[in-house]
Amino acid sequence: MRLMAPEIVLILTALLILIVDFVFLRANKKYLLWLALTGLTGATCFLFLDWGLVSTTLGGRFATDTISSWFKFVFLLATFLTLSFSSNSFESQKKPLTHRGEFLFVMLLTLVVMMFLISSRDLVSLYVSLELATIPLFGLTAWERTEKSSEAGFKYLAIGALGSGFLLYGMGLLYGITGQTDLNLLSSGLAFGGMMPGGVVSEGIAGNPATWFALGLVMAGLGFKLTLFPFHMWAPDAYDGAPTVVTAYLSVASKATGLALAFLFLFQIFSVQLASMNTIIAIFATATMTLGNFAAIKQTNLKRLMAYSSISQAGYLFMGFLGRDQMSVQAMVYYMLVYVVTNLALFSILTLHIQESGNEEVKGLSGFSRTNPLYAFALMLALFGLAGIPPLSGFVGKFFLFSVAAKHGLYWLVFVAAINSTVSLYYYLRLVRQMYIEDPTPSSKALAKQPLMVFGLTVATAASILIGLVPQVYESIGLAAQSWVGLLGR
Amino acid sequence: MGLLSLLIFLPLITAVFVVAAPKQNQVRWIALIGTGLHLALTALTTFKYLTEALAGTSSSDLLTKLFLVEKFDWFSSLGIQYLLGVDGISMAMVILTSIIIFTGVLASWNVENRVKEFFALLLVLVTGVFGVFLSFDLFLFFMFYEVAVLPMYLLIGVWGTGPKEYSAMKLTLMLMIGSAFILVGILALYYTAGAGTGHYSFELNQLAQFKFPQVIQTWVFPIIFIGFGILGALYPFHTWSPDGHASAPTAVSMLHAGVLMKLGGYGALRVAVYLLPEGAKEWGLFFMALTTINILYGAFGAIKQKDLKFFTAYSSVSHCGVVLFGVATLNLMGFKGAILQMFSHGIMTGLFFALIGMVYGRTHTRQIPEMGGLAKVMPWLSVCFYIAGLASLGLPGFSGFIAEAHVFMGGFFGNPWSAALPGRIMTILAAMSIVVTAVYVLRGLGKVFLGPLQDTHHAHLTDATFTEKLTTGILISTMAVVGIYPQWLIELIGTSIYPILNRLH
Amino acid sequence: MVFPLLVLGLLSCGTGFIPFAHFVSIGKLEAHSGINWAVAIPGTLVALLGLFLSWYVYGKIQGEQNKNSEGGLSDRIALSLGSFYPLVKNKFYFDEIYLFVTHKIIFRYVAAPIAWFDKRVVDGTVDLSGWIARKVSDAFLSLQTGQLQTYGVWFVLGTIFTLILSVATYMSLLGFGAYIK
Repeated sequence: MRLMAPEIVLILTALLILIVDFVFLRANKKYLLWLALTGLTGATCFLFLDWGLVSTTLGGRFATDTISSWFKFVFLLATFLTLSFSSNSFESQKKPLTHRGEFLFVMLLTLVVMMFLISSRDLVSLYVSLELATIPLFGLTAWERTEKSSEAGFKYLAIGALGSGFLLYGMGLLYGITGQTDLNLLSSGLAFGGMMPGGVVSEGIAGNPATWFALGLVMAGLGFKLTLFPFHMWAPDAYDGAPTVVTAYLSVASKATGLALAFLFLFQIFSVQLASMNTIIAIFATATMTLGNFAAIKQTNLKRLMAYSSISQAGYLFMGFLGRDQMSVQAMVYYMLVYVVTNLALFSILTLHIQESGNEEVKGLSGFSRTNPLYAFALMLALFGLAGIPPLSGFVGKFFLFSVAAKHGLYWLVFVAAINSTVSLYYYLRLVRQMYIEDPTPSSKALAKQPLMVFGLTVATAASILIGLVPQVYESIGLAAQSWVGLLGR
Repeated sequence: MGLLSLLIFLPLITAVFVVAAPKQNQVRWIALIGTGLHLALTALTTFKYLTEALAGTSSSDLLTKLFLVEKFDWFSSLGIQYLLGVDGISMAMVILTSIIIFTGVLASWNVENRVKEFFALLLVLVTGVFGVFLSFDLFLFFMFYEVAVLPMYLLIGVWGTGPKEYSAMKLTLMLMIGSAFILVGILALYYTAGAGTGHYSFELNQLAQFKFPQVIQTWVFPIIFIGFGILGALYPFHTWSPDGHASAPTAVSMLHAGVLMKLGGYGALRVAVYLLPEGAKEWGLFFMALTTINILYGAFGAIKQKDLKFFTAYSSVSHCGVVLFGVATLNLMGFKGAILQMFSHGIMTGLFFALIGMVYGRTHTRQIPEMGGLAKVMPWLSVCFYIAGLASLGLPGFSGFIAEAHVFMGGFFGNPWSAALPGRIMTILAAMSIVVTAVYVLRGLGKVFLGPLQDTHHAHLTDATFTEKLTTGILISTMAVVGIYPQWLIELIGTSIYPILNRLH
Repeated sequence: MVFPLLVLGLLSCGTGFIPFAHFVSIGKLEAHSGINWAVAIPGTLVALLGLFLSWYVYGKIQGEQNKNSEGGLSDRIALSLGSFYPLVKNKFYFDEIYLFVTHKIIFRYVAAPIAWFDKRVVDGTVDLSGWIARKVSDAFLSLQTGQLQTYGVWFVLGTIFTLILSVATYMSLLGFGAYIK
């Protein structure tokens, strides 16, 4: 039980929030936010206490190890930062979001389940965690209760159902091949081909074609969660229709969940098959980043632009699966962390801007640097971080990811990725141009500086700069990756 | 903090002070003091380098000897270090940049609009440039290289003239594509060397010790050369240059044409030729041909330009072609000439753009047909312009002659690995560009300064102010010093070229 | 004007005798220091001849007649030269040739085309790449129809495609008889 301490703390916090919300109907809802943040901090403390502890519980179904600690930290950080600027949306004068208590409840529970996901070592608990983590996001997307928001939520749900369906089909096949649901036993079963028709256990990964068929189906599910082409189509509409706070959360947490899922499937279950999957991975990575970057060129809506931007980031991330060694794991976890802080820094400002101005267009940012110089500067840094410009950590992260591709001899992919990065610079610079070069419209005004949001923004921006310069973060992720890979390679 | 780190980060610290300054008109003084201090620091470093280096290097070195080294492990699991060092070539480039940023600040004395951001961005830009010249770990090198490119977008986009957004975007994207090429090349080198020796490192000298297989040399060399060449205005990737220079504000053009384009030549020599000598031998003639086209194309293109800034931009394309031509000759004279030309053209083009800025600030036009007879009204500026023009066509007495002489002699002598005849033909063609340069320089300047006054409004324009006289004075005297007594510069860079040359053999 | 000329003339009479070669050369003296009579004598003779002829044709004796009208000695010489004379008078049209070659040929057929080429073709290629990128972007954006059915179809097609890829990888492995642990 001690292993699940962070999760239990969060569940209790969530329940507490709900109860307090019902009991103290007249009280200031702000306290709920503080309660949530306190719970998050508490969970993080418990996480740090048992950091990197390699152990299992619940009959081996729930495991912690070094990489799961990092993932949980990423999830917690993402939620913390998102909540820090959530009051932009809830306390705004113009069309604020409602039902704060329920919102916090849902968000915390999603977080808990994400943490359960990365700790799952059983097919069933994996699937249950995945569904429990995704379904609330459908609701969060539709939170605004407008037509647009509901439509976004519905589309997310429908495509999500497709993805889950295929994933489940694939998992069923896996069970059929090996007769196991425990992930470790499953992966050894697949490594040896598993059971052939007639009850014969065959040798070699080429032994059973059903393995590869299952892999294809699983990729569909992964593609949905990680927004890979062509499974990404829900993303622009969902990101557009959701309240901006939720968009921010989707862009980081949902993707991190997808990465966690991919880690479990590709590194753990299909670990042997992964060695031969380079072409598939390269194809998906290229298609995803190209689509994301090129589509964003002409996009004029800020939220959709960010959707395509995050689709392209998923493309870069997916390149990490080209290798099965410490370096790949390290590069991907590191980039995930960098991406979370950079994206949330960006979204914290965008949320405030969109909420107050009601304008979701790129043009709405005209002259932002004159009306809000500090926010514009922070936004510019975040944009450069996403584009991969030094000295921000986005550059370092991308460099290491590209190195993974180079290490496996796929120099053409490095080249494509670098060109894609340049293309992405174009549309990020478009925003910078609007902010710095264009003149402000008469109606733009200075945005308020809320202490909590500024705190979150500062943490995120500082992290996005420092993580790239100070090697300790990368190195410690490296150590975690090393021990995890060691665990895998039996 | 070590001396070299201070050299790199002093402009950044100055930028911080600039941003923190309470009053707008203090900003330029802060920038001036900062860059002035930097000049002094550069002089100190040069002195230190000379005392240490002339004893420590010899002509048979196979690896670049670094001095005043600062070394820290950074991302040690990947073999990335914070490695700074200086050799003669770097030192010369640092001197050049120091001078240009100082005069650039002087030339920007009259900027009115958003002064703080302007100077801060300039200083950040120059931090990146110094970083490139002083880094000897490829990761660090690449990082500073990118830092040097990005502020250009804002500098041109906000403070530029004409189709500035288009020019800024084109410049930034094309240079970033160059970076993409370089990145692929660097990663290829890193992994090949690492797989070969079992020890992964980005350190330049470590990589230099590995003999890369021929296949790698053949395809990586052109990628890296072209990647740097895009910044060095290699034909046909030079098109960002005319628009970029034309739209940029004065100090930005000075820095860009004077210093940033030299990053291209520097990188080509330092990374491409140094690490991949076999590749250089294979591709030498090809790039010589491309750069010959550069030289002539730029010169001919300049003749028909009506805009003074375009005129100078094409001239820069031509002269930067001389730099890359020198690198492509693969012999001692050529390399020396390339570096001399980097220095000389840097100063000269800085002078040119500074002068254009001064003239434009008065006449508010850059179109040559609209100007005429300005020598009557602004004698100091006209004389300076003529000096700059004559230096650009290689008049002896100025640094341009020394540089071009070296390059062309190098091209003529050829190298042991390519046929002599094509090289000689190309050298002859390239040398003919001097004539073409004379044509456009003398014609262009004649149209602007000589003859009767074209526009009567120009009759009451003023001549150079004190700061302007100071700016032009510094630049001209530098050119003259190098032109009349080039020994100090040649000695400075002399022994540092040997490692690169020896590896070719 | 006369006085400087006098000074210069006097000096030039004497400076030829100063052995500059001793002061200027480094090391051994070259063999050809000193005056070369084979060049000096004819050159001086021709110069003296030219001086005499010009004095004769344009000088004092004929000067009065030339000033007054046509028919002086110089005009008669000019006429007798015929069509050759205008050629000489215009310095063999060298200046006109220079201007013609530079303006009409080099500027019009070399410099201007290069300037045009650079602006239209080279720059045009860069602009073209930008145009292509925008068109591709439009194409990609148009995929996003907003209709759920479209998304569903893409999803399913994508899954099928992935399955094909997956099975293809399996079949290629079969060929190698993989026994990878």
